[in-house]
Amino acid sequence: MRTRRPRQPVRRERPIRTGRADHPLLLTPSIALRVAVLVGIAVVLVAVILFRLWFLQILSAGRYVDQANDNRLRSVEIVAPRGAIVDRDGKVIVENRPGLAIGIRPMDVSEEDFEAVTERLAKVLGMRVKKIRRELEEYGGYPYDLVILKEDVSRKVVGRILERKDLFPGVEVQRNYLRSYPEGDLAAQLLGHLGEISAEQLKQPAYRRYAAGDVIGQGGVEASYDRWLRGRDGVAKIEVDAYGRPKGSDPVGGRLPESGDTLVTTLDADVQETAEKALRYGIDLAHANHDWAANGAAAVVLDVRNGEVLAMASYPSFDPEVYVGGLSPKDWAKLRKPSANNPIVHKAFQGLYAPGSTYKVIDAVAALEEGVISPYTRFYCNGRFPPTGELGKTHWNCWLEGGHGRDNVTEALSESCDVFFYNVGYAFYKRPGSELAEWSVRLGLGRPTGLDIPGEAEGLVPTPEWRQEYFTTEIDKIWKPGNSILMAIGQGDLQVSPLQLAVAYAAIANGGTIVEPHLALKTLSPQGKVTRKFAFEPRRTVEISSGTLQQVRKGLRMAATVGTSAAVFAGYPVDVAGKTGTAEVYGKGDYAWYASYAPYDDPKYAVVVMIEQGGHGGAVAAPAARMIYDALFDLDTGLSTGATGTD
Amino acid sequence: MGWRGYLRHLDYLLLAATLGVVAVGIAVVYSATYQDVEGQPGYYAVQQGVYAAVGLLVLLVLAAIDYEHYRRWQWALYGAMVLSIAAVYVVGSVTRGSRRWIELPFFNFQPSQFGLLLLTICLGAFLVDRMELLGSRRITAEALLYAAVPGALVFFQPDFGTASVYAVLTLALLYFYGTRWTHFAVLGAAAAGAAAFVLGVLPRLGIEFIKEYQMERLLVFVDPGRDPSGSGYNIVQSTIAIGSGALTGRGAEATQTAFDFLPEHHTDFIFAVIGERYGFVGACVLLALYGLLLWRALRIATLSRDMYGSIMAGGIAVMFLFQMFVNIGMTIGIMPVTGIPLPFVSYGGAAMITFLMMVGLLQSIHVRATADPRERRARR
Repeated sequence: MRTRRPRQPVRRERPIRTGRADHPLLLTPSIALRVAVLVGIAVVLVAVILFRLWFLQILSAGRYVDQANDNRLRSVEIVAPRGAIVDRDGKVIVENRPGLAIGIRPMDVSEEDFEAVTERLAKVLGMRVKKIRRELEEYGGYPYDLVILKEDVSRKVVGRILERKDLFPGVEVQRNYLRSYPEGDLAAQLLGHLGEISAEQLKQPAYRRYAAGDVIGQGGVEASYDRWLRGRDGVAKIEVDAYGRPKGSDPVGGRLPESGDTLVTTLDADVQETAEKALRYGIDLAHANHDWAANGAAAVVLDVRNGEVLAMASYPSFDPEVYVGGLSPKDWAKLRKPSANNPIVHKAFQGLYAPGSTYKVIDAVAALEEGVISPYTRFYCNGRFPPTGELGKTHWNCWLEGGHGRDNVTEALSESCDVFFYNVGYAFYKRPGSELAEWSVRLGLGRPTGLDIPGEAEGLVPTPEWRQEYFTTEIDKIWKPGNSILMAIGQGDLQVSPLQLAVAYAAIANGGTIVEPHLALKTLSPQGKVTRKFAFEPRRTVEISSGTLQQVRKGLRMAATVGTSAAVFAGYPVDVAGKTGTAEVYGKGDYAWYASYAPYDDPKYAVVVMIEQGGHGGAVAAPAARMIYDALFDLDTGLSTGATGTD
Repeated sequence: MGWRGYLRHLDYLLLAATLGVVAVGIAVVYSATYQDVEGQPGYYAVQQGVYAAVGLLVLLVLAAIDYEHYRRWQWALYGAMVLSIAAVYVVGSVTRGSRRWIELPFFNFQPSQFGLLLLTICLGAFLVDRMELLGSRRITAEALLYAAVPGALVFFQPDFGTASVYAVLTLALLYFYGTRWTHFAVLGAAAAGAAAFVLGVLPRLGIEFIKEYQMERLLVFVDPGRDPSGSGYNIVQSTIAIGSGALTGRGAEATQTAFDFLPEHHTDFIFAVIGERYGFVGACVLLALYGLLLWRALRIATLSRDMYGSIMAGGIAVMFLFQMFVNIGMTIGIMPVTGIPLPFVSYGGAAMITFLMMVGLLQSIHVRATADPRERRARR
């Protein structure tokens, strides 16, 4: 560029008006001004950006660091192993076993694969495709959550899925804990099962500390003592990406789960097992006596001193395993069908029955305490009441044709004389108020006993007021002599649970203390330390004079030695005091009862046995009770068959 | 002018600023994407490097060509621009409901990006050819119509963001041409009226002029908390990323990008990656580089030997400023979300090469301005 080159001529016709040599230039003042204005605008814009960055990165940095951490850290719940349930001697009734669950992560299944994968999965898991799809479609969580489709899947099935992972995209196996029952169906109805907390439960104050999705005890001791059994779930904080996929395998923080406490129950596994066996035996006896309809039974073994339930059996029972991993509709139908006779209901505290002659003990206490009779009062029994035509044409028969003759109260209890108690009932009818009903309630009948597991039945002690309210027609509303007379032999509208009767008999045995029956003794930490002792104070003490107690106890003892259950208990190594019962139920066979306590002079246990449609109490219920006493006192007296033809 | 003259008259400070921004961009693209393609951590960075290399080559070639030639080819270039943008409607591939690209064997060609350079050249030529009309309403109206053809074609692809760059570029060229201030005032008022009409009146008449997602973006801009996991998600996540960077950045601990919380982290939202990894300091360094670029571009506008060079240099400077501000403003929540790339940094071949070609044009203007014999004589 040292020499100036000659300028090129303009080639185009149209003159170029700006630039080049013909219009030398050309930095107009206008350009300078406009550049300056633009520089001003640029400075403002950059300042805006800098100010905003300063605000975000310097002034609010802490807040955004927190938010970034919230983004990347996800808390994963680690379910704590649930505590075991053991009997009073530490024998394990419920424990945990590791289980495998199959779930699906919706995020990892592409839309075109969805149909095929769910179909294959349904086939392998033995589920319906529709159900799987509905569960996935209705799932409300994040697409990266694992939706559990089936719990407790066998290793074989898991193996089949893992072998062909390519066929099951998004399907994952999860390890978790499941309940297991080493004693099989022992005490099945008392234990309860595990299930997800329901929407209704979440609304109740008792479940305030729980969250949706929590698996809790449903029913039985699992529900009542969930707080101690469940332990404390742990939390693992893991780093995740925007799709919720874990970025590393190690948690970056959190808290370890704490195992639940072991619940020590009041149950004695041996006695419980025997009681369950005894009920089957009682039913077998009933069948042998041609009472073919016998198909249900209940037994209660209560410590009369403190209300500890040593055994509480109900027949028929079920295998609690059916609930593990979710109850299948097939199993549910099986449990619910009428011919199964309600195996999931515990008949000892959820069933209500007319107590029959076992109720006469309450009559006797009430009549003696109220002065309706004295120990010397005797009524003549010729097999029929009333002996004269006092109540018109109506009359009530004693179970023994021809009658018992003149009995006092102990003899009447021993022989279960109906006419004696018809007299007592009629005497109460003629007195003001409803003293008999009051005594029944006082001794624990017709009201829940306070058992520490849910679902207890209330029962019914009829009164004139109840009749007035319950019935609609004028004639039914009236409390008639027959109502009092039938109630006195434990019939009519009277409805009690075997457990209530056991509490009443325990009160006779312990001198009037109404215990609160319970199943929980204490909890133990995983290290075996006692973490909590449960105290169940008696609910109340009923004033009963020692004279009355003596008369009634004597009557019960006589019944077992020379009376209605003598065929079973006469000469038995432990002194048993007990009353048989044979309750008539309209349209059904007689309900057999045996209510008792032992030993006679130093009462420890009350035992009540009831066999639905079993026939005579002395024939089927008392022999079953004797089996239970054998277990309670470590005896081996062999089987007894009882005597038919008594009350 | 020989090779030596060419080399001597390049604006090396501009070149250095350009290379600096490009290098930062490639580094950030790498840190944003090293986890995205399994087994190939450098996949995007290498691609971006290749685009940059091609772009630099084109830059040097353009710098050597006298821009005066473009003026003669104005109408041919204009036709090529309009046709190529129109071609997208026929052979373009659809991305998220919008046709913007033409797929070529090695490269996705985006005519609307390349068109920005062509519009600068063509409209600049159109204006300087009518210097005598300066100040008249006619030339303003003609220039608007001239630019409206490619602008509308881009708008209806639809690509609102790039179309807005066309509009701003047109105004910038008119501005440096010397259009009267009153015309800008009238245009501003008309734009405000049109916006009110489109956003306020048309939706009520049931006419959908702007797409629903565009409306949604505007609403989210006004209130980002409106739908934090939906349409507001991008803004919320990018604000978290930038804010958590604090003064010096989180470096390798940056999780917003690494764990994919930040969408579009190597394209539209790449500034959030810078903010998170390198903090306020890193953002300032980038802004300083942009400042250098702008200063050099505007200096070239004042140095240019003729109006044509001044108008084009000014237009290019405004485009850099506008795109930088809108893109950064979007990531820090002060501008609505549009698909405008961050110049020289956002991943993408079409934008990268176009930006480098614009720098090439600036260099060409610089070379011609400083190498002009008369100017040299004047200095002496």
